[in-house]
Amino acid sequence: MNYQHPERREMLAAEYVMGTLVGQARARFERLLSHNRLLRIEVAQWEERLQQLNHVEPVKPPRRVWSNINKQLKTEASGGQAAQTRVRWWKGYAALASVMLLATAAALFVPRELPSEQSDFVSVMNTENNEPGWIIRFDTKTQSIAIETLRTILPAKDRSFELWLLQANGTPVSLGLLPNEGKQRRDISESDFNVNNGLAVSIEPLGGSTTGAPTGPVVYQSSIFTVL
Amino acid sequence: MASSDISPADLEHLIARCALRDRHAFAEIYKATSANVFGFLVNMLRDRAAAEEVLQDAYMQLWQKSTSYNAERGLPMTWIMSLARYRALDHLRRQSTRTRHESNYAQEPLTQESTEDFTALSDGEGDEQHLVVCLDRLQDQARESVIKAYCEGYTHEELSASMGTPIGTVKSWIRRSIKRLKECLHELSTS
Repeated sequence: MNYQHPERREMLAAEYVMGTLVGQARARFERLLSHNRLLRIEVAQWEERLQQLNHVEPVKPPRRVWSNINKQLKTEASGGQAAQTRVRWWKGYAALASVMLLATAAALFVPRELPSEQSDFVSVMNTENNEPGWIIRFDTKTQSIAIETLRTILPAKDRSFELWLLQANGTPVSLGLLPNEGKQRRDISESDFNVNNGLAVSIEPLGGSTTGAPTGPVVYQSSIFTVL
Repeated sequence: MASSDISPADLEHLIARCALRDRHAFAEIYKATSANVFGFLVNMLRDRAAAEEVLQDAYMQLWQKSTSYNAERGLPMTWIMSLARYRALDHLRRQSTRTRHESNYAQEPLTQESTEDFTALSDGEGDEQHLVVCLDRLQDQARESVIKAYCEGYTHEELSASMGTPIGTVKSWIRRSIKRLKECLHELSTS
């Protein structure tokens, strides 16, 4: 099937949303959706065009549905904990790998300008192409973070990348905007060093979220490693 | 009927927090939206047990796929309803045989009276009413096909059987309706 032709693409997207695209054609279309941005846009437009047909009288679901969802979440979380336990033993190797990556990245991208940085924790945020995009180093002595851009990374027009530190309960705390290029250092509060649930990057309106919470899609996530 | 008591902006914030594994935000989303989603699923599947199962699957998928929500491409409630609709379609397609309950829309073209009912349900103004106007401009059987396909998951074959019409004709109705709906919605939004 030719997905490059705009009219064909639009017809398939509409039939997908309507539900009349079935069987292997539907399965093939869903596979393509995951890596074809134009198809995703077409689908989203048709979902929006037809959304008024979603409006029917609300019906409160029985409590057992939420209980079942909660059970599944707990199962998922315990699976995650087991994975974290497995993670601990190799965390030292990962930290070492991070430091090696940092050194490699420094050698590759900023050969002369990288000063000797003091850091206790380090995180490497990869871009969507799985290439190192930013290195973020936490320094407990100066209570600051140093952000290093390893390649020029431009968000969409009128958008900014915002960095979030995930607290233990999952609540994100903003660490400010990520630079598109170069290096930045900024102070952070002592309490921000007490959490180690990872970092995330969201796409926000130009200048960052105005609500104190992420408002756009979360595009990158990363763990923080202790530097040995 | 309000589509949801929560504003799109608040729902967007909750989805973004959900993407950061905030279970409280997830619970808030469920509380604010599940009655709308369940109402749609009961209407589509005509089977409460199946609707419960699909509702559970849809919200688990919301939890797992919340990072894929893109606020620039559509409203958060549309995204949530679409997740649930696609799971409901999967459920219907998995059933090797199924007995169709009488359709809400069978033999009931969107006449002036039914359009008014539909309008009352939608509780919208301006752009939200455009779809009703555009559907009303379609030929009766074409409109019935679109609504039965979207709201009740009818395939081309099922539409053909239920309406006593050759499958080729049903496919033409659907394709022509898609083109006309797009043109009509564009015309109304720019006028």
